[in-house]
Amino acid sequence: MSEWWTYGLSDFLMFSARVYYRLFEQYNAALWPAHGLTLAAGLAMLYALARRRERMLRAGVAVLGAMWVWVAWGFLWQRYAEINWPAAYVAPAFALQGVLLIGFAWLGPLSSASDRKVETGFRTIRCANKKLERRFRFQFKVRRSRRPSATPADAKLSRSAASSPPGASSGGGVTRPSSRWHDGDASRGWAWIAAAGLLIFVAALLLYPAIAPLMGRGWPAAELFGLAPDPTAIGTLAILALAAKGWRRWVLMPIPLLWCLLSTATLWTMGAPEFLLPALGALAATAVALAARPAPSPALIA
Amino acid sequence: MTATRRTVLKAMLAGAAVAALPLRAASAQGAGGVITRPIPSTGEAMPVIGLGTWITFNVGDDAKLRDESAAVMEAFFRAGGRMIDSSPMYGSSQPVIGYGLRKLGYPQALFSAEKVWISNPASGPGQMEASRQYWGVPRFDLMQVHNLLSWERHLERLLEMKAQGQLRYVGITTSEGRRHAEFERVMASQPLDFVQVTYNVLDREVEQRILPLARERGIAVIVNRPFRQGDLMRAVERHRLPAWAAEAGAANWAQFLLKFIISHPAVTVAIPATTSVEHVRENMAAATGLLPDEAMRRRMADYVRAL
Repeated sequence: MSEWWTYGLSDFLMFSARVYYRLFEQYNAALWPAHGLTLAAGLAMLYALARRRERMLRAGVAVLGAMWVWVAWGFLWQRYAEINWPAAYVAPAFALQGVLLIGFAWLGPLSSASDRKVETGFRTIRCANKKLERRFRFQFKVRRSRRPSATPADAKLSRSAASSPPGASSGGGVTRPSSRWHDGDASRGWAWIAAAGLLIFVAALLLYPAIAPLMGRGWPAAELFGLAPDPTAIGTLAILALAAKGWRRWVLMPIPLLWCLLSTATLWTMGAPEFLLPALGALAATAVALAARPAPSPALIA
Repeated sequence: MTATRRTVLKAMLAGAAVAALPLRAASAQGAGGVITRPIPSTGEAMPVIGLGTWITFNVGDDAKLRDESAAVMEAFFRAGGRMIDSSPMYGSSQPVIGYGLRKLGYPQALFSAEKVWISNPASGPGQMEASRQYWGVPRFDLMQVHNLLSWERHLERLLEMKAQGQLRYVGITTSEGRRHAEFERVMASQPLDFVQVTYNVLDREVEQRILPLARERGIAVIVNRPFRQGDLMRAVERHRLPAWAAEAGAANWAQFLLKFIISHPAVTVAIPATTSVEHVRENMAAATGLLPDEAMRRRMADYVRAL
């Protein structure tokens, strides 16, 4: 594209807002009553996420993967690409996201060789750390006094244990997940992070479909989690922010994040009042994911 | 869709008028009092208002919106319009045009203007054939190289197709002032029938070199984005139409803006796009009645710029 600096977002918008919203009306009409199924699946995911039901959530993530594959084919490829041909290039990315989600849900935690290597590496570091810790404690005792406890290292360790997420292990082993986000020694901060993540998922599942009627477009144009790309991406980000762990979180989050940014750009160019919602959802989920580092251990996904 | 003796004679008379009054447009009146301009390379009469399809005809498979597009086309032809312009870049616009044409029984007046828009020149013929099938026409009247994309090879092929009778006219396009220097070089060196550029009361760069060059070389000019994709209309509609607009033959803002464009002597046809039957009638009405002279055009431009 020559003279690329002369192009604005409006140069890439090839359909009107009316056509875009009617696309959802027609899509919903064609799929009715599948909406009940996706809503039920979303509620089950919400329950599994809130109660930390590992197997149930992993099954939910596999269903979520299937939803991404469906949105890739049923919405992007078959319908959206009709009025916006670049969507045909986005559809494979959605399908890839779906396959990745299904794959990670299938593999489960610490099941791959690389994960075992990573875990072994962490154990080695922890062992080395404990040796250093003992040495430091010894030296400290010699220099200061005979006080047996409450060394600075202990205090640091104790602070870190207090701020650890529920179910987190301070040693090298793998602990069982707590049944709730606020159980055990979880700090109040962790409860807030979990609440924020759950709230984002609730917004994607229950509030996003209400935008169309709130904007005067009526329920037939509602965008539903599992069927429409925006709420599916936002809901996925919320799940990954809370339940995915380590590098897999950052493998699984880019596609939904990029979609949210692309969607905000599209809606802004269309003049849609709700244009900020996908970007806000992505931003909030990223903030939760960053605040949740290190992730709850063991993670529910991966 | 071919030039008749009457249209050619009109064009010749119009040509004589151009020679006598270089600043006045070589206009004539067609069916329904619609002002026409001759296509310089043949003299064929072209109504000065055509129909663009960017965004407005990209409605996908939506049956209701397809019918609305067909209604716009019907109103356009009823008002004496001829040229419909599209591109493979415009999403579903091509099949929607085809739907409308089938519904209207392929009006005789149709002047089909399409574009080839693909980087790989070898894929050009396949893309043009796909476009033709979408429209459902035996051949296109005009094929343009869209935004000068791979123009050398595409243009070579288009000229061959024209020589073989598979096309009637050949052209190139640009929009929003892009690549004007290269555009001029192509205009100066290639046997073009048409060029398509952006021109409106605020975007007037083409007046400097491209429009004079088009007159000098005998190239017809299609004007896209006459309303800046609706932005210009939205901006001026907040203000009252000046009382003297009637002297320019304009009864509303759409006609004010369109008459400014089509009154330029180098312009052959402007192609506003719309989804509304009422608007297409308003636009087509700009192709009737008075056209502003040079002094009035300056006044119109000054007025809009000051708003």
